[in-house]
Amino acid sequence: MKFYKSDFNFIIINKGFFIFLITLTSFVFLSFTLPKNVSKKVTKSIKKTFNVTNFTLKTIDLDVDTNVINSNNFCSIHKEDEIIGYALIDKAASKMLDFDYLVLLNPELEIVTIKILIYREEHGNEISSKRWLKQFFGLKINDRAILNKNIDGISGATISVRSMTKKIDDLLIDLKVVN
Amino acid sequence: MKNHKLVLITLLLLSHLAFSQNTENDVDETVKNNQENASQSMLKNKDAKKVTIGAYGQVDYNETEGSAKGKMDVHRMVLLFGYNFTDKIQFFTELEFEHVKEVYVEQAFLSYRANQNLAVKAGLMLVPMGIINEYHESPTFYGVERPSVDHDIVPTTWREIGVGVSGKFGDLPFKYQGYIFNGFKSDGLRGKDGLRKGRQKGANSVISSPTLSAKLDYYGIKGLRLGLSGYFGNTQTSGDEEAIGETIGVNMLGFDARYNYKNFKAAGQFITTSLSNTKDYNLVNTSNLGSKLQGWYLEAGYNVLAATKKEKLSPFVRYEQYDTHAKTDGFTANDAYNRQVTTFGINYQVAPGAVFKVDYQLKDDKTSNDVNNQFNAGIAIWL
Repeated sequence: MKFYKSDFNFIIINKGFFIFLITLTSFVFLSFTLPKNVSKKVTKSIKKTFNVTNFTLKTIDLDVDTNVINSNNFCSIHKEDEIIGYALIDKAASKMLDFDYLVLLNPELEIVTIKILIYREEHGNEISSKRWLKQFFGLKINDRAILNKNIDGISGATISVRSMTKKIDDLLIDLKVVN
Repeated sequence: MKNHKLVLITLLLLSHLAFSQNTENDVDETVKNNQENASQSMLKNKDAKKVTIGAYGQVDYNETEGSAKGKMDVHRMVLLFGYNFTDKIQFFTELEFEHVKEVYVEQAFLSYRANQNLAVKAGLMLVPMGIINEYHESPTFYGVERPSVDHDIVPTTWREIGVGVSGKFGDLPFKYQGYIFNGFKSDGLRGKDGLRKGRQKGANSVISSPTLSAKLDYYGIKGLRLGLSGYFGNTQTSGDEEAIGETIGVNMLGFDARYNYKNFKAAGQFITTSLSNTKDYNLVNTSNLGSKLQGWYLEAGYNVLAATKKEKLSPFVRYEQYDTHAKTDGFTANDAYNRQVTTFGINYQVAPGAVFKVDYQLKDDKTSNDVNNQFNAGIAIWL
């Protein structure tokens, strides 16, 4: 025990070194951190969708211009050494506030599920219904999501419908760029 | 010492690896120790407490046939504010300027979202009845002016102070709302516009008995949304509730439907209101309030531009039939209150939330007299 304690003191004294160490390890291992307010829900969705109990998330290095995805909201899902899918955890606008959503893609970059994680506003919560979100399932790289074309709206939830559809369309465009 | 350091570094690296999936501490460390890029700091800001600002409004030009001169008016300009206390607790308010100089607070309520299916709300809120009272932002309706049914039958914008719940039933395509509201005040109710003058709007409002309001929306069929609303209770008085003709009872039922398929959009609603005790009320207050107010409208529009474009150019038509003397108790109904309005025009949305409107209204009633028709033009914004 004494052995560790002395090391602990060492860290406190050398704060700069500690920071350096954390930064360094972040770069080396590129582990992806989930926002803590949605962490549970995302974990549950991934487990259910990909039928796994253990998985790790890793950031993806993106050095191209993208609309939606970036290294802070897009990650790959790994089971042992194998990539089993991808996840986008992002926010979109409703009338006044933002809502949080999750998109899960399979290794072929096809949308397998979308979930509204936190919807904060009174109006527009209709988009959380799986019935509506299902329209996006199966869309993949080279597809588009266009309102009133392949995506139907919901009366009384126009703003959230528009904003969700735009995000998914942007994601599909991004996939092409990233791929 | 050197050995100790090596062990420590190894331990740290291992722990970092083990926590690929984030924990609370991890977030704190990364935030504290890493520089943020623009998107990171924006994401962080969105989580933080923040005031959101919005607005909607309309500027109208109305020209009535006949000798009356035209009118130009900043009909309404409304500022919206939202504040996110936490992910679960929000505050919303709408501050309205009507005709430039009348100031109202149209909504001011706290909402506590207990879970994804239930929110508890309290404060000054909209009574869910029909379509327009809840969705009253100017670009959401085709015509320059709101439907007349939503003026004389449903007294839009109808808002009172109360407490209630709203939410959905899991993944079922239903939205529910239920409230206990303060009611209309008993003074000023009349034949021409029914309950309109009785709205207390949350301004030093008198309460003598609470009223109930509920709405159920169904959106399970693609493009279709159906609503069933109800409002029940007595009017409010600062006097003796038991006194003859002091208050009346209000029972309002509404059914609404909206349909949207590609370029085609249609909406309609039917509202019927039974008022009890109007005979005594009219005698005591020398008024002419009907005992049944009823009205409906149907409207349809078709966007002639490509459905996928943000610009929309929609010719539209709306037919309304409404009667604030659908029934009267103890006197003969005034046929001038049995009215029909046909509105046709063009709604040109140049961008979502920015609309130019122009329409013409053919007005008529059940008397043999002519009712002046009206030309309207205006802009509507919502940002």
